[in-house]
Amino acid sequence: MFLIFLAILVSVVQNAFVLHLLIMVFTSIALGLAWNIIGGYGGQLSFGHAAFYGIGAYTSTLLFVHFGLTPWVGMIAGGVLAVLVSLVLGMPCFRLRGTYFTLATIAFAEVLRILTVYFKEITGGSIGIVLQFKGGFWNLMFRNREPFAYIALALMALVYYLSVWIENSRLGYYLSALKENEDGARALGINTYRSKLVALMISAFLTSLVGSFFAQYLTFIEPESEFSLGLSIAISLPVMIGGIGTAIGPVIGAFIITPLQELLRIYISGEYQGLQSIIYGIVLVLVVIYIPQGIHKWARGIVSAKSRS
Amino acid sequence: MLIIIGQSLISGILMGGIYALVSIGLTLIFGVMNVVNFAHGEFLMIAMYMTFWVFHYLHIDPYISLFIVTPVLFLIGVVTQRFLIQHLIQAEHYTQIFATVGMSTVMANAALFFWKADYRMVKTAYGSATLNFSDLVISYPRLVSFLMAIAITILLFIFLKHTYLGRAIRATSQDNIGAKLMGVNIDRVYIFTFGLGSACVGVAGALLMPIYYAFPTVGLHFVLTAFVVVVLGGMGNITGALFGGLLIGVVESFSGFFISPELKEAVYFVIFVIVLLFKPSGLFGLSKG
Amino acid sequence: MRKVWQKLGFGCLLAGLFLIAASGGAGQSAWGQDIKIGVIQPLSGPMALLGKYSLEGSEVARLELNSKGGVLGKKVEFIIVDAPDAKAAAAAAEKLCTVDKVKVIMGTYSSSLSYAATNVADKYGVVYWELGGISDDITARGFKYVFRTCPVASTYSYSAVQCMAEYLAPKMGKKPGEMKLALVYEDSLFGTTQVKYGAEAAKKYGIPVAADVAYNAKSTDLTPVILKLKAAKPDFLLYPGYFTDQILFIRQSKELGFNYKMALTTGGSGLKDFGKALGDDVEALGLVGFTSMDVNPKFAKGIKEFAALHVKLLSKEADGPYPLMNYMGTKVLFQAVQKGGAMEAEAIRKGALAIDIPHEGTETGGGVKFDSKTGQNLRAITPVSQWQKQQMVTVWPEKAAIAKMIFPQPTWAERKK
Repeated sequence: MFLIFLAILVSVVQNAFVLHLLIMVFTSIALGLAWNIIGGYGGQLSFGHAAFYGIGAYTSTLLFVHFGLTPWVGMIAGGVLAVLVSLVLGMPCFRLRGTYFTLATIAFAEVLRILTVYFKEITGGSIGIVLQFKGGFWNLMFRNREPFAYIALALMALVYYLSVWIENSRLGYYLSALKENEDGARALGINTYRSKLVALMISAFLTSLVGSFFAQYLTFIEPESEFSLGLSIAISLPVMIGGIGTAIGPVIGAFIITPLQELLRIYISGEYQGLQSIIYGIVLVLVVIYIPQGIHKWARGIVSAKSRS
Repeated sequence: MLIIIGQSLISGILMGGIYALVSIGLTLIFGVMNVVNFAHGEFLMIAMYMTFWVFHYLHIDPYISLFIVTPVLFLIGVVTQRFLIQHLIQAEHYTQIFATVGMSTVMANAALFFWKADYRMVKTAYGSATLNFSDLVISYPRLVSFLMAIAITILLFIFLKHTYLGRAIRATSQDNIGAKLMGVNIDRVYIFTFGLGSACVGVAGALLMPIYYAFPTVGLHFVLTAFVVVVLGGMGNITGALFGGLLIGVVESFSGFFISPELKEAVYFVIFVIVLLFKPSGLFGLSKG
Repeated sequence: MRKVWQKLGFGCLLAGLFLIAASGGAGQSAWGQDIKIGVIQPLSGPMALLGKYSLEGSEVARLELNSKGGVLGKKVEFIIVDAPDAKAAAAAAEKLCTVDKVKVIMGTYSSSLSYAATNVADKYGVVYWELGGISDDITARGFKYVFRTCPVASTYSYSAVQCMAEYLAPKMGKKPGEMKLALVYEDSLFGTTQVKYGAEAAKKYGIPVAADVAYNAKSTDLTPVILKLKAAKPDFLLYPGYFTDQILFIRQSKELGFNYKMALTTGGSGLKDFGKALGDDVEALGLVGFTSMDVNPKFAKGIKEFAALHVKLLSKEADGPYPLMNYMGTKVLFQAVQKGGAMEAEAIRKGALAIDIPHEGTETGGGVKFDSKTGQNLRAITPVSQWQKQQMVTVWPEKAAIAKMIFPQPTWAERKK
């Protein structure tokens, strides 16, 4: 259905810039959906997801650059590492509630960033790592955008279907229960701690895959881009705008936010320093205050109101 | 070695005073309204710019313009609360966070747009003045900030304990529904509290100008540390913020020398997480100022 | 219900595509006879100030060129895109290459921005003309159409250490091996790269490294850094940093009584406001980097004309070395285009490789000769200047010097008198 439409779109579009935008949108969706698993379904707001993204990017890149390991395997390695790290984060921190958990995730990602800069011999520190171009499918590097777009689309589809599956699975029910009322859920016998951990692990794995993908696409990684707080916020933004806690929310959010952001920056910022971010920030504040449930639910509300009248 | 330890300690305490100053307003707001204000750093930024403009055009020293900047920040806080934050009080945490992140983006970029990216500084006669005790050095402007932090903590403490408004604020932070039932106008309390918190940051901004610089993204440098201090001290605990700030300052200073200057932030972040895990109400308990 | 979702999805998709299509259309509006050159600089975010100065230098070159009739008979227009970070730089390059279809892109002040953008430009066979990013790796990838007019990080560091070993040490009657060097730096790409080469250069010139201290540029207190350096008792400092942290460093060095014979700094120390902020405390501080505006005009021919032109065209003085460096680099690009005869990558490349300006032939005092394998200007130089009475005067090499170097730097105690 929709996905087939997108696939055809990718094959038809020739303009490389549009393809670039599409890749950005697809990956935004994938990241948002992955975040949504723990943030939306589980109600545990993480502002440290850049940690997992960065782990994915650095793991697959270091393996690729030093050992020639194909990023397809490197991605999985990164994902596994991200899962382990997520356990280190989640096990202690899931005892925290609400804002405290969020603050802990911020601190977590920051510490990872600082460490990445510090251990210069391994990670290259702030100098970052440049991926030399070695074309080919197994190297996950291509001269033109199309193959990247297909892969991004596939990643997005993977995360989307996983999300829908989780939503309707037992884990999904546990998560929505504990999101509503954690103590109540516990009283019902749900092991909330374990549910949260599983959700976080899945979320971390998927986020890390996207991080690896992006490293191959941009062919350059550095701690600031891969681990920053700004990135963590950007990951959760489309979910917030589109509708937190649903699978379709991040999709809508990303389709609106990502092109808006890129185009605002490219067209307005040249002459007027900062203006595009002001607009962007105002839009964000307005949407968040007046449509806090997300555009998806809001639009649904309108449609069902109309169908009732 | 002893001198190094002594010097690190002094620098840490003085720096901690500054952190405390920035954090006091944040913890007050947190404690009373339970709102996560990611834009707190931008209020600091505004206070700094304002101090700069007053110095630049009116040639008034920051230690005096403090008395101008602080009320203005109070007003800005009041207005912000009335028109923006008010909507967020009942909202979900993520709404609060995103809304204040959006505010932060708008404010920092508006500063960039209107005032450009240049660094603004204030050159005062006492800027590099120091007090020397044998081999130990105390920077004069930092000492002043430190003393002010203590003074403000004491003032706030007295205010909250002994005035009607202060008690109303405390009541609201402990139990806002109960307070309402007792006749406290909650909305007015919120407005006043946010204004008061912003005023505190105003003081911090004015005192920071002789030491540091104003530029659009200066808020970002301080806000994360402020959050750490607030949690360490206990949300809503003013004296906690003071001691938390001092503690962070000292930890930062020592880890900077003995481990590595690059890792000093990581060290207090780790401490932060540890405290969160074992004593989320803060090192100094939950008493509200 | 599903239909509602699908309709919503389609709706958003269409809205998004519309935005994209609109952007495609807008990019192709009629430009007429002008030559379009893309420019990527950070104009927002933390690097905005120097990004702007860089752009202004290029602007002066462009306005000057157009007033003389342009190049290849046409006037030049810039398509400017702001890139506050690496991802934005990549997107900017994408847009310039595919939507605006430029043949040349200039930029970029920051090395991480440059990496990202040059990667993209290379895929489209678009010429990338680097004016200010100094990381050696930018030209080390062997991209056919990447050229760089400014010096590289390794040049800075080698230059600085060479000055210490061959000029300063003898002045003290000592051998390089008898001096001590401390490396202090902000820990981002900029500082780390410079210091990496600094350590190499120290080995080459035989000066032992007594300390290696990194810090985060956002620090509000550098006491730990200074205490560590004090303990090592260095004679020389090699110090790449940014504006606010370098000011903080000098101030706190004064407070803590940290003295050294000469600090060769690079980065924020080259701005006018740096001198204003520190007042007398900046006196005798050394800098290594792009050619300063206060240089011997017999060495840097045309510099006075550039300074006057900047004021005339932009109504303000050129601040620091960035406008000059970007101006000179942009002019060289115009020459390359003129020589090549066409706005095509291959032609420009041939034109660039054909340029042969000897040392002291450009406004910066350097020359131009691009390495055919890497595209790097082999005759880019990094003189050493020094703050003297609120001016950054060039002091080394001696033929570029406009004043004599104050050496050793007076101690803080001595300055109080």
